[in-house]
Amino acid sequence: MGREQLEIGAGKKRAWSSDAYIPSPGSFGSFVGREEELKLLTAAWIAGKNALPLSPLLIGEPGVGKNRLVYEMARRTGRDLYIFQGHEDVTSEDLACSVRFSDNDSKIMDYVVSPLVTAMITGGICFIDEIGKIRPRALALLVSVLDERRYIDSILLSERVEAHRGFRFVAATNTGDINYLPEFIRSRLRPLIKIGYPKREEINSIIKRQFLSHADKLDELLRDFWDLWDKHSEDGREPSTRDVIHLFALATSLSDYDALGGNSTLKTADSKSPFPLEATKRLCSITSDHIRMAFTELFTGQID
Amino acid sequence: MSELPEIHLGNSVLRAVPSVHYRAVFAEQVNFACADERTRPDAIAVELGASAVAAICTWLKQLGVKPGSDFVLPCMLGLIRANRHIHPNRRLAALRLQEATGRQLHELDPLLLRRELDFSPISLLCLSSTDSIFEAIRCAIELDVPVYGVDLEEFAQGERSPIVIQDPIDAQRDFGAYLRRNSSLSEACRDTLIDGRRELAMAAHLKHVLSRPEHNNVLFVGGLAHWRQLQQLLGDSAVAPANTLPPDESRYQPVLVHPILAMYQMDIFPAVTYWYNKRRGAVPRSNPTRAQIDFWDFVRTHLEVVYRGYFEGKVTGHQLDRTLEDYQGLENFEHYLANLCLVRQRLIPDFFTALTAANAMMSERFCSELASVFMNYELGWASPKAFPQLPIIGPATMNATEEPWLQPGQKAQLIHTSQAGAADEQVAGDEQYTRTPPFYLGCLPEPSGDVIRVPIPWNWEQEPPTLTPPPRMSKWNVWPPYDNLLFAVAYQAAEVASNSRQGYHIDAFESSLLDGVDIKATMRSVTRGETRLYVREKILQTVMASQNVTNPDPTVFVFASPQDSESGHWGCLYAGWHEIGNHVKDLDRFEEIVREQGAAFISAVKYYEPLELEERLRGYVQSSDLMKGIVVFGSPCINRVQSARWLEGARYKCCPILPDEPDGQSRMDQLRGFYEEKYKIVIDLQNWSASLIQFAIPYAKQRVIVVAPDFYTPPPIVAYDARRFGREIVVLPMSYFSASDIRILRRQYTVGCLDRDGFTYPSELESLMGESKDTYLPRLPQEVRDQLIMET
Repeated sequence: MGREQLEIGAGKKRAWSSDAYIPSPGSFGSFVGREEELKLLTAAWIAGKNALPLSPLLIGEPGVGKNRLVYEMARRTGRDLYIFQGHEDVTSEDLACSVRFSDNDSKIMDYVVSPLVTAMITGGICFIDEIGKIRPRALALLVSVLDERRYIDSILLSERVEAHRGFRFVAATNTGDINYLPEFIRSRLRPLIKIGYPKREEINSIIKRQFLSHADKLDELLRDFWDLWDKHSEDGREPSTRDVIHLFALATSLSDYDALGGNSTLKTADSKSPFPLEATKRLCSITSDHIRMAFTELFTGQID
Repeated sequence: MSELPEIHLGNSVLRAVPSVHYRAVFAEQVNFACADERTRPDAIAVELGASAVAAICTWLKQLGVKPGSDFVLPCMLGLIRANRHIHPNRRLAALRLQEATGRQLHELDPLLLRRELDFSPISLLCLSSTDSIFEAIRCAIELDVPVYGVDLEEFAQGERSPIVIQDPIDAQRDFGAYLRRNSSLSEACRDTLIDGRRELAMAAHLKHVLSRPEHNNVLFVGGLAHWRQLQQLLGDSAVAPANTLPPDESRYQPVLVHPILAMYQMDIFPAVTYWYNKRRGAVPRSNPTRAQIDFWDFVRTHLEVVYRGYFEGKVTGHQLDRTLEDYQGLENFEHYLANLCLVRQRLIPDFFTALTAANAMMSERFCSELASVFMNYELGWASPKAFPQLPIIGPATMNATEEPWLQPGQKAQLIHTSQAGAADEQVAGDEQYTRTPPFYLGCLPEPSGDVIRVPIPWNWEQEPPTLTPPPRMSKWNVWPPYDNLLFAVAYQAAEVASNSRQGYHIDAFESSLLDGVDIKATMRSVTRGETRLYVREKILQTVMASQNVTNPDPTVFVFASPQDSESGHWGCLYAGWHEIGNHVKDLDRFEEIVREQGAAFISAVKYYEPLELEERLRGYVQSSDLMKGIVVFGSPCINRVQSARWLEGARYKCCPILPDEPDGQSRMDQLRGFYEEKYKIVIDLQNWSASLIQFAIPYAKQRVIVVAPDFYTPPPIVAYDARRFGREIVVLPMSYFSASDIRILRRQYTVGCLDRDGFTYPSELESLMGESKDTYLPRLPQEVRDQLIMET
């Protein structure tokens, strides 16, 4: 979901902005825990008269909630959030600006500034996700953004874009990719904020908020889940929030599938009496069996 | 002195010091109240059970606290007692647990009890000088007045909500105002199920004390969170005085507390406890007031000591010198520290906040320096030698998946000096220690406020040893994580070099977008007036990366500046010797190679500076070297199976093979002779960076990758040899890689292995080296990891 593109000034040129990211209102209202990490991030972004804001790097395993933390900070600080997704094919110019054929008959091309440059111009937050997946040479353009210069030079625009006072930057990487981040960038991404696995109580709260339709049984189902997890994870490793949400979503689907008739209905279904693919309402109650089946499917890889 | 809250009951007056636990500001108030003639009590009551108070009094008197004496307490001593109560909210869970396991709760693993029931089997009460309750008991002994424990002796640990109150240091300015502002705020952390009963008991017991004719002036010291409720209950006539006070059951055992556990109960950092301990002044005394602690000065002074110790004379311009980076980042560190205090509502940074900021902003070495300065308890910590009869309560070893930091409610174990033959005994030197299984520890009184999660990089000099004497080693190998990381970075370098060789073919758009629109070509077209769309197609240029990860090109690492004038040592690392024959598929071919060339299969050549070995590593580690540079000829040789697969897969053409004995020469002279004779490469070992590259050239399939400091240029002789062999030299600047990786690679340890093939290492090595022997292994390609496993 995004906000409408705007034509904005980029140096002396006019360019189209990137879309700001606005998470769905449902997920915005349900942030749980992570108060310490939010404090660390807030402290990094407080700027003083003589002190520039810092550019933190969030490090953590996939699914622990790094992005969610940034969305929450955007909400709490009331700023627009611009997300740049890192991947191996990002070029240095992608970080600044691209062009497209114009819809306006009087022009041939339009400049479209990247989420980073849009945030720099409008005073929003730029979040580079998976920064460790971007190749080192593509990141070179970031150097001047992250140090006291706070500007970016775009070759395509032939312009220097200075950052707005309100501009804030944050990047995130999975723990496994941190060592692929070149030192000239890593040394500028401070503080390093490690995002660990959430506590069980926090995961339970998140599940309870996201699966309200099963509220009456969730305590029992969560207990079933943790029992299965403890048996499965002998080394004491904890699941990520994403893992548990996926598991409950799958268990919900399995319960809906059963309510729609399950295997027997699917076998006899045809064009005259098709198998319904939409579960438009809460059809049946999720049970421990569904949790067990979803667990087997997602974590142990063996399903009957 | 500030006015303390007073309650009048009958002919008696109760003055109170509602406190934040373990904070010297409140201990100071107790001390001043006892020192001042106007408020000096004739009895003291505290928020502890009667047995706890009796145990503390007995022990303090044994230690030498008596009326009229200034005595600096050793730090840190404590008392422990067993817990028996489970929180009422956990009763159902406890029943379920008993049903599921078929056992009584006391038979279950303490770690399971913690996880399922939030139950700590043992609680620790530290004799911390900066805690107001402890100060009150100490004053009672010095004043020779009775001291009463009015709380329940046993209760379940409360389920406490985190609260935000003003920094307790603010109470120094105006104690009364602080209480008014924060009493109701701190109430939010009360657990009504647990604390309600306790407060009722405290009120009844206090009324009993106040009703005694000999007590007209009683001082009560307890937690700030209880104060408003207590005030109400004391004023409530429905709450009758208790008939008697609870008996002393002597259920406490004295212990020596490990500094890592103790420091949570030592104000904002240990030196505050020391300072307070030394300056408090015994009561009664003629001048009741004393200079208050200047906390800001404390922190500033300590930070300056950290900076001096870390930076003075140590900043160099070398790329890998993180000291310079830390120096440049100092302003940001202080800025972040100040901001952290702001968001945590603290006036002065405490140890944990400082460490959190350092951990996030500075190098590991800086964090260690900071921890060492802040943990440096000036008179030294109470040692096991001074208290040999006391068991030590210390942090339990964490397993690999646990978070590395400790916190209140942390995992601990008791360490006893023991008789020989006990189970899981650890022997070191003359002392023998036994460690109990780990359990989670509760605190008395329970601390409030934030739980700060940050590792503390500090070691106690008096740490009871946990190691067995080193076993007899069969072989000395490079510590496997070093090899894992070295080759992980080498593969990463090959990938970076390979990417740099990818190019694009650009052409006008005809039907397919291929790999996307080429913006620059299209723009040029527009400016030419041609207005055509140009697309590009990714192509690999003529030089491609070696695709064979199990037989890659050699990689050279130049860590030090090539101009480094300090001379180093040369050394060879071996893929193996004759024992490789046990793992090859074609033994005849192997024996033929050994017969014709020799059995010294060289996997790497290094130029290094030997470092002095730390005492704790001796017996397990043979040497520790600071690497200036190293050339690795191909695949890692973490064990002999892998060596055999590499050598055999490359048909023994991937590295120098020399005769077993150097024949009167040094190994390096023999190696130079080998290159000169076989490849006509003249190697001048003085020019060490060039030599490392020259060693690699004949074994490169396509090119030699050199990872070197930024701006490094290979010497001309290297280019000449490379041209002669038709190989390319690709130099990759070090800043393309993680500086922490490179720093780790500079330090190479040679460690003892229990078998000749490099499979089994003593388990103690992992704790000595602080990492698993499989660290960094996941960063190696799967094919290379597969080589490590012996085929069955």
